[in-house]
Amino acid sequence: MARMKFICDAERCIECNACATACKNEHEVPWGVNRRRLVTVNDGVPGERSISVACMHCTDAPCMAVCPVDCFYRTEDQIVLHDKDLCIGCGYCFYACPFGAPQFPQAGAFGLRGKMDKCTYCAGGPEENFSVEEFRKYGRNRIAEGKLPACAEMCSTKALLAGDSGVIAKIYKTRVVTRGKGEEIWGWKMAYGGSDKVSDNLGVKA
Amino acid sequence: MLLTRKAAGRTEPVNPLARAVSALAAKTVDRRAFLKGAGLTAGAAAFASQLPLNVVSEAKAATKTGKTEVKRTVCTHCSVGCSIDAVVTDGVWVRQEPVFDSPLNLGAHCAKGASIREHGMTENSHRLKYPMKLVDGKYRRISWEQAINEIGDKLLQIRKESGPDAIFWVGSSKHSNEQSQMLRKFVSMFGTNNMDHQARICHSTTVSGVANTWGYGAMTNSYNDLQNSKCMFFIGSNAAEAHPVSMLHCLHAKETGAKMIVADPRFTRTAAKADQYIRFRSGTDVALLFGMLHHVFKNGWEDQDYINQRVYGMDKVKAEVLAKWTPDKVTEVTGVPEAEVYAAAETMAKNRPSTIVWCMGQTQHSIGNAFVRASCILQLALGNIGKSGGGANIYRGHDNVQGATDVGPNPDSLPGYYGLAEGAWKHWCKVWGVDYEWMKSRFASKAMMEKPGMTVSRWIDGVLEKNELIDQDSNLRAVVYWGHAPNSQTRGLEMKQAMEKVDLMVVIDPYPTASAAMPDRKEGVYLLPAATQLETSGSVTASNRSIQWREKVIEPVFESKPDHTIMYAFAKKLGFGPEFVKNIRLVKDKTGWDEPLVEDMTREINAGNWTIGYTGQSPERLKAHMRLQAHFDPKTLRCTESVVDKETGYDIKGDYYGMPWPCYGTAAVKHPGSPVLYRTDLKMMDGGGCFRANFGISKDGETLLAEGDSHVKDSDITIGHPEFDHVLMKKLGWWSELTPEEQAAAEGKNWKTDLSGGIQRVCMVNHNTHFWGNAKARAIVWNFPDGIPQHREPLYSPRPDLVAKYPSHDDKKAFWRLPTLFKTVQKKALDDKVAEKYPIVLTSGRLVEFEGGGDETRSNPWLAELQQENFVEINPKDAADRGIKYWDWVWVKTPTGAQLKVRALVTERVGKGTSFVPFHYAGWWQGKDLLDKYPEGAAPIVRGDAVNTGTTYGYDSVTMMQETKTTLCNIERA
Amino acid sequence: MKRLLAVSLFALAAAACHEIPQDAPKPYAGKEDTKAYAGDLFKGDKQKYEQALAQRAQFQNEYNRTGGAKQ
Repeated sequence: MARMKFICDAERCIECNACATACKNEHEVPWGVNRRRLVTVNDGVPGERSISVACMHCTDAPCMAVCPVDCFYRTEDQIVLHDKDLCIGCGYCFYACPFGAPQFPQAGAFGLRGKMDKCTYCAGGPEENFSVEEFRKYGRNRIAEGKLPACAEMCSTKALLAGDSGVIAKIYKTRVVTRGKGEEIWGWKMAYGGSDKVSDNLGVKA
Repeated sequence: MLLTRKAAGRTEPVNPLARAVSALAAKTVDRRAFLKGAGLTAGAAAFASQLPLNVVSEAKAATKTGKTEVKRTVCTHCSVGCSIDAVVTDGVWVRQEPVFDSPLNLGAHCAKGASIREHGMTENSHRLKYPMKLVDGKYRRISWEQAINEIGDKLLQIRKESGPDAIFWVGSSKHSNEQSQMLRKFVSMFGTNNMDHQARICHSTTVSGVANTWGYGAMTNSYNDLQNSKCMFFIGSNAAEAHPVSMLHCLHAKETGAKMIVADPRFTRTAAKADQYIRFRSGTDVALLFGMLHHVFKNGWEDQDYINQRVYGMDKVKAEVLAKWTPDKVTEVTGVPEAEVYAAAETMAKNRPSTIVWCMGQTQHSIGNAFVRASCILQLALGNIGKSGGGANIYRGHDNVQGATDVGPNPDSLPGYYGLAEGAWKHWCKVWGVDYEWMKSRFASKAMMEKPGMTVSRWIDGVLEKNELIDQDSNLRAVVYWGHAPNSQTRGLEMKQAMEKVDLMVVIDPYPTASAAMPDRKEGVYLLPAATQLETSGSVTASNRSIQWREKVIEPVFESKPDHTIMYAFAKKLGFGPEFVKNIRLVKDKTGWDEPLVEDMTREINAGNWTIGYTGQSPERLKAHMRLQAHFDPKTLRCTESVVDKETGYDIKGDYYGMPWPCYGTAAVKHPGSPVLYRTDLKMMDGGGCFRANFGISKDGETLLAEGDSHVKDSDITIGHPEFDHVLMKKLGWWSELTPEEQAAAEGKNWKTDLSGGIQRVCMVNHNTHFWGNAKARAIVWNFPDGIPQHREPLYSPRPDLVAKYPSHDDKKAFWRLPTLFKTVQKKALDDKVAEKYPIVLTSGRLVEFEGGGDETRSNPWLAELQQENFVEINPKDAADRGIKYWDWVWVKTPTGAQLKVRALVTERVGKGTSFVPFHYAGWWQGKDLLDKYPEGAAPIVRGDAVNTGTTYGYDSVTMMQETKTTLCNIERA
Repeated sequence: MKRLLAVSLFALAAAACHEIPQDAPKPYAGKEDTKAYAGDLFKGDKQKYEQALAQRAQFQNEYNRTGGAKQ
């Protein structure tokens, strides 16, 4: 059974923002709502890396766990979606999500936030597939057309991969094996300080 | 706990994952802080409350109802040429899909290509919608008829009073090939060579320097060919932001084992991917490159056989480089330690084929022509030219700057680099179907007809300079900005003055551009809405010389019209309508106007451009390629199997994608195109070639023809030889192989002027011989100011001590019709102690979100949101010295007296003593927002001070390229 | 063996703490969503739909067209 995921290959990501604008384009996302965005670490110095971040469609989604009105659901492909008609804009999902995926269109008085919006993995939402209602509320439904998320399909360097986890893991593995090394971005030292180079920390020849 | 490192020098912690829903969100690590308060204010709160999502039309999704078509087009932003499938329902562009089939981009896009559908959206559009006239300081809508009449009358009046040279026509690198050649024709028929386009300020130094080295001034290989490289050296190229999709090929190459070296004054996003990064002082490329060459020669890494056979003058260069550019001198000038220079040289030499990539960092200097030649010389020494994986990979800017340079509005040449001599004019008059004498009569005189015009970088001086000092009768009295922004040229303060002084300014563009808002005038300005390339069809030439065909996606929006339709309307008004479209049929467009047929204009390009091989890419072949993209190999660009295009019956077997020029001969000859130039290991009809015999047979007793065994594969002539004409054909006994029709056309002609293409056909098909000769590349270009590239300090140098050692050129009295200063400006900067008062080097360049002058991309909300304010990158030490904190408002002050209000982006990306401002912003003037000076509803969403408002005087000694990459500034808290 | 015991003891202990298994169904109070493969394109054939997506994902792997990947 398919399990849809994203992987962003930080060795390839050049922070070009194609993923961000592809999403805006495909779903006509308004100003101020950013379903997908680029995050850069070590901006401007050796060791700079960028990652494209949106909803990760978590297997154990914190947003789903904390929602007081139970507006989240998971499709058969493990895509996490929600019903905007039910959403009360409380913002709990926003606080729970470690990736900042939930977006709110308003910053009004009394904490008025409007309906939560987020990456739908280009799978629309709980409306009739391809209907105007679905497009208005959630954006386009590419998955039902047999297509994959616009962000990954338009990525300039094919850093961002989307698809069934097994399939994209294999693509990613090909790159890692061909490249001869993994990401130079993860690890204890990166998170908590230390040398920029994984190789230094592992005592491995660069 | 923070999950990121604190960058050294930062004064506060940064947490990219923290955000507040309220307006003032926390700062993120990177500069793309679109969650900041500015986001909700600058973009207008109206956007945020548009949920439910804004739908462009009520048309249901493509699978349900409405007539839906898919049109294939090409992105109109940069020269990579990414294909786009535009889904159109009931004439509305509702969606775009990636084109995985394209061998060039394989479906990939950058932020601009991924958002290009916005150009066709009519709700909340910031496009220039109607013709407008400046009346009492405000723009009023007028009709097209009124616009054409009034502008035409005024142009005719100026022409009558002051001559045709009194008007400057700034053409466009965003016009299609068809429109570009037509514009060259248009301005010629108007009677002047005073025309230019973006190539001047982009790669003019490249074209001149490289063409004078070995034949053509274009990218020798391709973006795709990087996949075949073992080492890629980027110098003055920030491909990750300027050509993002090219990085797909680059990073793929890196994955498969290629090394990557980036040399740049900034640690760019491209440098972040490099194996080796070299930080060197802006404007010292000759020293760096020759410093590397020094190590190449010292260690015997040069390809001596290649040099002996295919290069002239390398021995003299070697002697000079070994004597002059010793490591200590290199370090003194560039600031780079010897070990780094050595490492780069070694990596390039030991990992061949290796390639050099350059862009504006090399070209935009007062000695840009020397920089590009130094790069060429390094590659010649290493034997990398004419090899797949090697080459001089010149990354061009706008989507069709290559095409516009090849066939478009250049001041110093007719299409195809034929030049302006009588023979060239006669050739083109024949192609255009007009009488040479008539054409001559359009000009002020034969002398003016053959004299190169002014350049876009200096038209302002054509207005402001004293009349007795300019090399034409009248000063410029009018300027037409036809698809060109003003804020990409230097000396903005003076440009504003020039714009206020001219009698007439006309802007023809899909957007008003900063030209609409810059001058303080009451009248005399017209804005005419042009359609984008998405609203018309035509061909476009990517940087790798592949030509692609764009289908028309939608009808022109609002009242915009395609540029060629506008040209014909003006041609009629100005009195040369019939001549303008002599060989071109007219069709009625949807508004009832006459539109020159696009394919006929393509055929006119095919009919005349024999020099550069634009003759074989007929509309049929081009369209077939677009339909059959999937069959071209991304590494070689070739289709090796037989695949027949259903619509035309044309078999693409053997073709290279887009038939990269030169595609010699007529379409019937089926030359496949030339993806890698100067390859002697391929036959002519496989895209092979050699260096051009364009500079004579010998120099100072040394032969300039190829020696040893160097010749095109299987050529019947195995020695070096000059170029072909009917005389040589007859001598060799090949004349009889031409058909009678070919002989009739080729009699008295050479390979460039034979309109039948018979000489080309017989030479390459029957004899595998290159008709342009078989010669050596020149390491010494004796007709340039410096035969061997020399380092000369920029006019506004941060190193007064080095100015004495490496002074700039002597002033020129009449250079492209204008007095041009070098030493005088440099000396004055020294005398005025400019380097002390303005101690920070100011350089400028690109952002991935915007393009060119920027009004177009800053009007696209999806792009504008990502970069909402202009900024200056300043090193933490420089910032600390001035009490400047991250994102403070600061004034960037330059020696011109201008001051620009921008945000301070404190970062180690720039070294101490260097700063960087993107050049895409406009719409402010020294801190003041010019919003109400734009026509209503047509101002860009994001506006800012233009860096070029403050940039200084400085021009290249061969091409009049502006010195944008190295000037001086100081930065103060606002 | 010791390790296996340790792990199973932990799992048992965790269960006792009412640790919620990761992929247990969560309550959903909203509208029902049409299945992705329900329409004209896939006509309810889930396998065909998953195959289409798997095939489509290969466009993100340029090695398919360039070759040169190490295995």
